[in-house]
Amino acid sequence: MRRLLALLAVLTSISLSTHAQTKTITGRITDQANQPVPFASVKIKSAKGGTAADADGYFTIKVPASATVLVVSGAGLAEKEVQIGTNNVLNVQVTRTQTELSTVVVTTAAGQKVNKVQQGFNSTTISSTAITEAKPTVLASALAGQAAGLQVMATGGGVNPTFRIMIRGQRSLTGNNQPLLILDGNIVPYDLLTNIDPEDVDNVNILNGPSAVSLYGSQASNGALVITTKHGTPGTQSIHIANTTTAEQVAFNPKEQHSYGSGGSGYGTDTLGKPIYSPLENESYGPIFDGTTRDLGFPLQNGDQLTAKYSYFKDRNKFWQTGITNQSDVSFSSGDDRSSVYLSGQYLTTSGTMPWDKFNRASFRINGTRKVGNKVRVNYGASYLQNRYDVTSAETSIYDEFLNMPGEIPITMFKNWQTNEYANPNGYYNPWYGNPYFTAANNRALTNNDYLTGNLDVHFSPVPGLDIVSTTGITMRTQTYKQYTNQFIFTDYATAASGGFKTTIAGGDNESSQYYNEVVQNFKAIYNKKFGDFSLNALGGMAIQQDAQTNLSSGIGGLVQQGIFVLGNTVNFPSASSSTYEARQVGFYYDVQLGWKDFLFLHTTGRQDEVSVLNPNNRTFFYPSLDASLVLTKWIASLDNSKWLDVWKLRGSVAKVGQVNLGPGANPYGAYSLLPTFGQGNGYPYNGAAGYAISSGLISADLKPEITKSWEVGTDFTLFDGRFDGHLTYFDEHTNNQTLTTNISWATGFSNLLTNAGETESKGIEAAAKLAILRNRSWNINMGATYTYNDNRVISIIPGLNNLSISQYSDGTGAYAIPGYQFPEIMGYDYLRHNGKVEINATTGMPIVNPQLVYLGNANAKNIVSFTPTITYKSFSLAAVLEYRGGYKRYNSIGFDMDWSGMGIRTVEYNRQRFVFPNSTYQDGTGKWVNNTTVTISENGNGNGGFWTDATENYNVTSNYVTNGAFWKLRELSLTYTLSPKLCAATKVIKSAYISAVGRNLLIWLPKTNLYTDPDYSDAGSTANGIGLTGYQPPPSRFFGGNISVNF
Amino acid sequence: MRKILLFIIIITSLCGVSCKKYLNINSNPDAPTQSGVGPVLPLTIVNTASILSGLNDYGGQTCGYSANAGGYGGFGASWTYDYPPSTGEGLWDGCYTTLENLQYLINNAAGHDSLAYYDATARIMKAFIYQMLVDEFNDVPYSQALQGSANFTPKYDAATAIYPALAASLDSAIAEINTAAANTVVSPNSLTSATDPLFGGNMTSWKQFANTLKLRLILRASAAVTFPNMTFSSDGFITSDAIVQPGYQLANATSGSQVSPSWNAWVSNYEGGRVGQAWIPSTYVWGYYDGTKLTDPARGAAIYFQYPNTPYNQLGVSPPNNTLTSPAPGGAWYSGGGSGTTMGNAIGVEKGPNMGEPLILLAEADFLQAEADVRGILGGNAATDFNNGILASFTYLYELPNLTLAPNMDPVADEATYLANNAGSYLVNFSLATTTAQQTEAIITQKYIAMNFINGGEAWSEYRRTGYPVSSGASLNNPYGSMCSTQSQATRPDKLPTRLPYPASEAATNAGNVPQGINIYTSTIFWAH
Repeated sequence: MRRLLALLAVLTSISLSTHAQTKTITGRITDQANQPVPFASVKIKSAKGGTAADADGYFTIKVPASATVLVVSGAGLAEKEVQIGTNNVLNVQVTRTQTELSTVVVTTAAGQKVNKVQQGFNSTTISSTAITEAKPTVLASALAGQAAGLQVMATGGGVNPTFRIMIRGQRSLTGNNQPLLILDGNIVPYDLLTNIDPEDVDNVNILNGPSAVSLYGSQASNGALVITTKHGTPGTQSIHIANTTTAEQVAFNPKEQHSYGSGGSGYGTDTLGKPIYSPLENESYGPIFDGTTRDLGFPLQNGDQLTAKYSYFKDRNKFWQTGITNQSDVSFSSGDDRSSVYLSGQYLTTSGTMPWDKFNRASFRINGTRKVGNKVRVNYGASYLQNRYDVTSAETSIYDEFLNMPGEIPITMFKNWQTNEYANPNGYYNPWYGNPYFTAANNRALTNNDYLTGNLDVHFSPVPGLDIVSTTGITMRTQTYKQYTNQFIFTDYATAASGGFKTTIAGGDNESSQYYNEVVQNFKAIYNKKFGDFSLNALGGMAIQQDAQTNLSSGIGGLVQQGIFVLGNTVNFPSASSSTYEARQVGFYYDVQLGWKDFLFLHTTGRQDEVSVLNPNNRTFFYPSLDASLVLTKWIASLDNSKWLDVWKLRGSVAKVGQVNLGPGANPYGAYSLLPTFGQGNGYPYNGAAGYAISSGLISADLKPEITKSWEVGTDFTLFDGRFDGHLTYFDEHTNNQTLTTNISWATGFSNLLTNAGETESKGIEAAAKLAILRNRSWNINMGATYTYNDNRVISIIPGLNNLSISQYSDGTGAYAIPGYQFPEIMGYDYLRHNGKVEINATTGMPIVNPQLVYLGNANAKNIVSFTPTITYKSFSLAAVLEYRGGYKRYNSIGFDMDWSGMGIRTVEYNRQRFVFPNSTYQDGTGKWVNNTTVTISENGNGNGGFWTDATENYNVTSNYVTNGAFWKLRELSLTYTLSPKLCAATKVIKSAYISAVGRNLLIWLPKTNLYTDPDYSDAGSTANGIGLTGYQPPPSRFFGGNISVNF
Repeated sequence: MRKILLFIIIITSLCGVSCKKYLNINSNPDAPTQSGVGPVLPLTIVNTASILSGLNDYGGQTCGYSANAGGYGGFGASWTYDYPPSTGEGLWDGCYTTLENLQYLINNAAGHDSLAYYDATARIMKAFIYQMLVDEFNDVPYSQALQGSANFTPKYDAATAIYPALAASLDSAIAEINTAAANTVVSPNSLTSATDPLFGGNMTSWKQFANTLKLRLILRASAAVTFPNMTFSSDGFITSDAIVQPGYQLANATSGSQVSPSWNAWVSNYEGGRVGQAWIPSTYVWGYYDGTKLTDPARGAAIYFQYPNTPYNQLGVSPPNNTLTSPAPGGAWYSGGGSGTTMGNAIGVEKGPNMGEPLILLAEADFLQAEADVRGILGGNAATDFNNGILASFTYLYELPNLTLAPNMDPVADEATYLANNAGSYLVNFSLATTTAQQTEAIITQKYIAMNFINGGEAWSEYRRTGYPVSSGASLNNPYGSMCSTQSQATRPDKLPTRLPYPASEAATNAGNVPQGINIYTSTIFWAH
C-alpha cells in the first residue's frame, strides 16, 4: 500500500509536469566510503537550473527531457558527470579530494548539517574510529585528549566509573558545568553519556563555546556534545561482530612504608625506648620488622592462635583484584535509496578491582530512515539499554580498613571469611577496624538502570528548499536500588575478648526507585535558498521540554533474620519517603545563516525561553548569538592559487546564553526551590504528633538565570594538500548573576542563602593540529596534538564575603571560590609561617598551627596538552592518546589516614625518631627569627605515632596533603592488525576483519610529591564543581586486552 | 504544508495564553511551605534536649565525669584541651537553628491572643538556649540575630547585656501566660502533650521552669552584672524534674532515631548496636562513690555497670590505660541487664531507650535555691533545700524510664544512709559547713554529684563559676584529686580550658563581628571564677 502511495505521488508529479516535458530525478550522493555527501551541487550540464543535495545527500531535480548529463560538484569533491538514463532514480558516488576543513560536515546543535567552513566558532568532530580505537566501555572515557578545550575526568574508579566533562573550564560556581548532551538531535539526560554503547556512535561533535549552542538557550552555557549514532548506508548491507576482553589492574597505589608493623609508643616503650608491638593494633607504629614470628590477635575461643611473620607482607596489594571485562558487539546495517536501517546489540560484563564487584550492561538500538513519497522523510531511532551493578556500598570503609592494616598482616588470607576462622569477624585480629573482605561482602549495593530512548523526526519538504520538521525525543529511565548490610552476631567470647568492641551488626536494607522521563518536542521550519551569490539557510522553530521525576525510598535498620533483605524483615519501623518533581520549558528560536560567494558567512541565532521553575515575573529570557566566518582562500585569488595553502578561514562570534541554576541543593530540575519548606526532624512523628522545623536555607525571592556572555575569535587552516591542518581559538566568557548558595552566619537563624551575585571569567586558548608526517604505500604516520590554556577566574562573589565554599569537609577544608583567584581554589589549614618557614614553639619544637583557613592552591588545570599519534604500516596500525595536565593542586584526604594508620611513607621520613621540624623557624629571646636546626619535637612522647597521629599539629593540617596535581597519562594505546582484503575476498563472506591489542590508562606519571592517587578523582563526585579534593576512591586502574572484529 | 504551518502558528499564538498555564506548575507537592505554630514548638523542645545531651558529653569530659577507655587513640583535644574551632560548632549551629524555629514561633504568635502560650513558651525556651550559648562562648549575636536576610552579619552582643535581657524576657513570658489565662475575650489555645513534650501543656510548670531558669541566671551572673528584677513570681520553682519526653522509643523514623538522645550516644542505637565505648568514668568522680572522697555505694550502683567493678580511669595517658576497656554490653553508665535491643527499663543515668531527657533536674532546682538562700537572694532554709536536693537526686536515679520508682528502691532511706555514712564531711552534712565558701562548696559539689553524667554542661559551668568541686592542677599521680587530663596543654592553674573557641563558620561568614584574639584558656566567660 505504501509503495502504491509513493508511486501515486511520483505519478502525480509526473503528470503535473508533463506539459513542460520534464521529469523528476531523485537520488543520493555518497562518497567513496559510502558516506552521504551533503549539500553537493547538482546541475544539468549545459543548461540552467540545478539543486543542492540535502544534509543527508538526497536530492531531487527536475530535468527537461532533452537533458542527458548531470554534473555533481562541491567543495572538496572531484566534479563528476553522470548520464541520465531512463531510470528516475540516480545514485551518484563521488570522490572526495580534500580532507578536513573544507569538506567536514558537522551536525549543529540545531540538528542541521553544515560545512565546517561556514562556522564562526570552534568545534571538533571525533570520529567513530577515534572513539572505539581502544575499545572503551564508556563513551566519556574515549573523549579524553581528543579535542582542545575539552577536559574529561574520571572522578572515581569502580566497575562503571563516573566522569566529569568540562569544556572551557567551569563558569558556573554552583550550577551545572557539564556540556549539554544532544543525541540524534534531541536533548537527553547527561547520564546517557556513561551508558550509551560507544560502538553505536558514528561521531561526536564537540561544540566548545556557548555561541555554538545558544540556540538551546537556558541549557546551553557549557557547550555541547552532539552525538550522532550510526545509520545504515544506501546500497550496502553489512554485519559487524566483535568481541573485546580486557583486564583491569590497580596501576598506582598510595606510597606506603614497609618497615614498621603493628603497635606503637601508646603501648609503652621497651628498655631501649622502642615502641611495643601489639597483636591487635591497627596503627603501624610498632617496632621495626625483624622477621620473627608473632601472635596476631587474641586466641580464638578454641585456643587457636594466629601467628604471622613480622615482616612486610609482599602481596599486600593483591587485595585489589584483577578485573575482567568482556564485551560483545553485533550490528547490522543495510540501506537502499529509500530507506536504511541499523540494528545493534551489545553485552558487557565487568568485574572490578574491588573484591566481588560486578557490573553488566546490555543494549539494543535500531535506527532507520524512510522516504515516503518525494516530500516526506522519516528518521527514527530507538534504544533500550540496561545496566546492573552489584558492588559494595562500603568503598570508603574498606579502603580505610585496608589502610589501617599494618604491613605485616597477611591480608589475602582473610578473603574466605566464611570458612577461615581467623578471617571470620569473630576471630579477626583487629577489634576496631573490620576485615575489609568481610566488609565488602557484607555491604552490598545493587543498582538496576533501564533506559529507553526514542526519537522520531519527520521532514516534510513541500517545495524545494523548504523543510518542515518535527522532532520528538523521549528518554525514560527507571532505576531500582537496593543496599543492604547483613546481620552479624558475634560470639560472646569475641565480644568479651574485644572489650565489647565487636558488637552486633544489626543489618539493614535500603531500597529506592526512581523514574524519570524527558520529552522534547521541536517544530521547525528550515528554508535553504541560493540567490545569485547569496545563500540563505534560515530556521525558525519552537521547543517544548518536559522533565518529570518520581522517587520512592524506604529503609529498615535491624534485621530479624540474617540474609533476607526485604523491608518487612525488621524489628523496627521502616522509614519511607517519596518525592516528585516536574519542570517545563517552552522556547522559540531562529537560526539564520547568510552566505556570500561561498566565502563569507554570517550566522545569527536567538532564543526566547520561558521556564516553569522561576518566579513568573522573571522566567522569560532572550539569548542571541552572532558569528561570522570568512574563507580567505576563497576570497583572495592569490591565496586560492597558493600551492601550499588549501583552506584558510577566519572566524569570530559573540553570544549570550543563560543557565537556570537553583543551587546545588536543588533537585535535578530546580523545581519548587524558591520557598523554604518545613520538614519533620529528630525522630518526629512521635506518637501521632508531628514536629516541624523550617529548612535552614534562605532563598532570594527573584532569582534570575546565570548569564554567560562570550566572544571568541579563531582561525582554521589546511596546508600542503591536507597534510597539515589545525585551528586556533581565543575565547573569553563572563558569567554573571551567579546563583550562589553561600554559607551565612548561623546566627542569622539560617545556614545558607541562595542568591544571584558574583561573576566568573573563563578565558583561554584552544589549539589543535594534525600533521601527516609520512604517507606512502606502506606507511601512514600522523600526529595530532591539542593544547588548551584555561584561565578560570572568580571575579566577584557575594559582596562582603571573602570566599564561597563549593565542596568542603567538616573542618572547613575544601574547594572554594575566591575573588581574584582561579576557580576552584583549595583552602585548608596550614602552619603559621614566617617568610615561608614554619613557626615552631621554641621549647617543644612543635609546629604552630594557623587557626585560620588559608589558600593552598588552584585546583583548575590551567594547561592541558594531548598527543594522538597514529602509525600505520601496511596492515598494522598503532594509535595512542597521551595527555598532560598541569598547573594545579590537589588535596588528598586519604593522607591523614595514612599518617593516622602509620602506613604512609611520610611517617618514616625520620625513621620514627624525634626530628627537627623541617624548614622551621622560631623567635629567640630577643624577638629575632632563628632558623631551627636544633629543637626537636618533644610533645606526645616522640617521633613515633605521637607526632604523626597528632590531630592538631599533624593530620588536621591540610597543607601536609596538598600536592601538585600534574600528570602525564598514556590514556589509550592500541595496535591493530587488519586482515588483508585479498584474504577477506578469498573467504567470500568476510568483508573485512581486524584484531587488536588495546590498553587504556596504561601509564601514569605523577610528581614525586603526589603519594596518594589519581588527581582526576574528585571526592565531591562527578556532578559537583568542587574539584580539587581526592578521597577514598579505590586506587586508579589500568586496562589492557584484545579485540577481534569481523565484518560480513 | 499549510496545515503544519497553521499548526505552528496556532501553537505559537496560543502559547501566549496557555504557556502561562503550562508553566505554572511550580508549587511544591513534596513539602509544606507554610506551617502553623502547633507542629513547630515540640520539635524545638526535642532539639533542645538533644543539644543538652551533646553538651553533657562535652561538659562531662571536661569536668571529670568521664575519661578515655583503653585501646583507643585519637582523643586529641579531649586530652589536650587544645580545642580547634570545630569543637563548639555542633553546639553553635544546633542552638541557632533551634532558636530560629523559636523565633518563627514568636514572629507568628506574637500579637495573637490565642497563641499567647506558644509565644511565651517559645521565649522561655529561647532564654534556655541563649544561656547555653553564652556559657560556652560569652559574647554572641543576640539583638541582631535570627533576622534571616534582614541581617546577614549580626553583631555580637556583650554577654553582660544578654544575661539580664534573658531574665527580663522570662519575667515577661510569665506575665504573658498570666495575662492570657485571664483573657476572657480570647482564650488562648492550650498546649497539649503533642505540642508540649516538656510539660504536656501545664502552664504552671512552664512558669516554674521560667523562674528556675531565671534563678540559675541570677546566681551565675549577679556577681558580675546587675539584674533589675531579682524577685520571682509566686509560681515558685519546679517541683519535679523537667523532662522532655516526646515518646522516645527503640525505633527509627524517616526523620531520624527515636531513641532518647543520651541513650543513643552512650548505650546503644536503635538497632541495638553498641556506641560510645571509648569512655569510662573518671577516677576523679569515682572518688565521690568509692569512699575516697565520699561514700555512696547506693547511687554508685544505680548509675554504674556492676559497681564497684566498673573500670575507671584518669583522662589522658596513664599506665593501666590500655587494659581498661568499656564494659559490655552497654557501657559504664548502664546498670541494667540484657544486651543489644533487650537493654532498658533500668534505673540510674541511662535508664533505657525510652527514657526522657532532663532539661533541669529537681535536684538542680533545689541546690539553686539552697545557694540563693545562702546568698540572701531567697529567704528559704539552705539546709532544707540542700537535703531536698540530695533526696531528689536519689529519687531521680531510682526511677525507671517511665518515671516511677523502681520496685524495692527507697530513696528516702538511702539518702538517710548516705547522710549517715558521710556525717563527718561538710560536703554532705550541711551543718558542718560554716562559712559561705564551705556552704557553696557543699551545694555545688552535691549538685555536681547529682548531675553526674546527666548534665555535664551545667556542672562544667558551675565549676568554672565557683571552682567547685575542687580540682587540683597537679594531675600526675593525683587521679582522685584532679579532674584534668594528664595531657593537658591548658595554661590555667587548674590546667583546664575555660571556654570554647568560636566556630570557624563565624570567621568565614561574620568576620567583621566575631570577637578576635579569643584564647580558650584566658578569655573567660564574664561570670567565671
